[in-house]
Amino acid sequence: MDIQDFRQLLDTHGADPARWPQAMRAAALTLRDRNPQAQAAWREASRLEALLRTRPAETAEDRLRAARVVAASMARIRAEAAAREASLAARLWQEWRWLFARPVGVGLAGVMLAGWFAGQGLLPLPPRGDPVLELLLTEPLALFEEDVS
Amino acid sequence: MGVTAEWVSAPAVPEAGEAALMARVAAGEEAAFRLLAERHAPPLLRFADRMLRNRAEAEEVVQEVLWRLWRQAGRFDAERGRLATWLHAIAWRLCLDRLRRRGADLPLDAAAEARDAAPSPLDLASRQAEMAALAVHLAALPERQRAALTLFYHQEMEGPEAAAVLRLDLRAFWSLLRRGRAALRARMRGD
Repeated sequence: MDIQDFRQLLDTHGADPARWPQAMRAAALTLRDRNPQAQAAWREASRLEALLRTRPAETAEDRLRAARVVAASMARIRAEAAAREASLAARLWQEWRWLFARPVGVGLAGVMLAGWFAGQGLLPLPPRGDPVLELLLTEPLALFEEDVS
Repeated sequence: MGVTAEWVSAPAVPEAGEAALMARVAAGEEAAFRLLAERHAPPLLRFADRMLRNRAEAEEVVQEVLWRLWRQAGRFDAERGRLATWLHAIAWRLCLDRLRRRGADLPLDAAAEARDAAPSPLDLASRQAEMAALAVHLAALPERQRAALTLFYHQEMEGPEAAAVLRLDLRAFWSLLRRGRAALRARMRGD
């Protein structure tokens, strides 16, 4: 291996010997340790990669910034959920409001009224004890005839 | 903007139970969403900052990523990869769209530059200057090379994962990384 091969190795695999191909590693390490040019190239590559890996420790401002971004995302999610609900209600009204328009509305009111009367007829009987109510429920015609006479 | 007097490696992102959390998000549970958003927003912000060099735009991108996390949680398949990979892939596409809309003229954010070049304790001055130079040269690289270097080194992703984010096969990713490393080294040397 010569210095050109070694530079090629650094470009291809980086400065970490653990990432160098096994077949080239021994020769490359020997060259790095014996050749000043190879050693300088390796140091330069190592330093650059260390810089690339380095980043400042997280500051309080970094944490606040991240929290702000998360809060803004939550706000957006909630706003969109509220807008979706509002639009669903509006869509339902648009689709079904014809039910409340005339003359369908009048028909609907009639059906509702008929339903109310039918419901009244199906209600359970009131408690016994009131003679007038008993008469009304059991002998309505007799009561009518008595009034006429 | 405060600059701490300490430089650290990237912390590992806890991933336990993310598939279960995503299922809860898909069912509309806000608490699960908040947990995942708080976990992933910081690394996504770092990635978007590096790609866009504009803090306001980076925040918009991450908000959009989180919104998609909420809306598309049902599509996430834990069998196919980590949640971080999925979210970075979305962030990458959004960053790419913005970079292409900008064209070649990248407006570097003064605040983002100041963060790297801000005054610091003497023992960090040299490192700060190098970091500032790195940020400038990295920003001048083609967007895909910048993304490959950022994902592999800054975000500490393994090759296959970074390749998945960029939708490349592994061979193409290593080639891209090699070109990025060589270009950045040449720029840092002043070639």
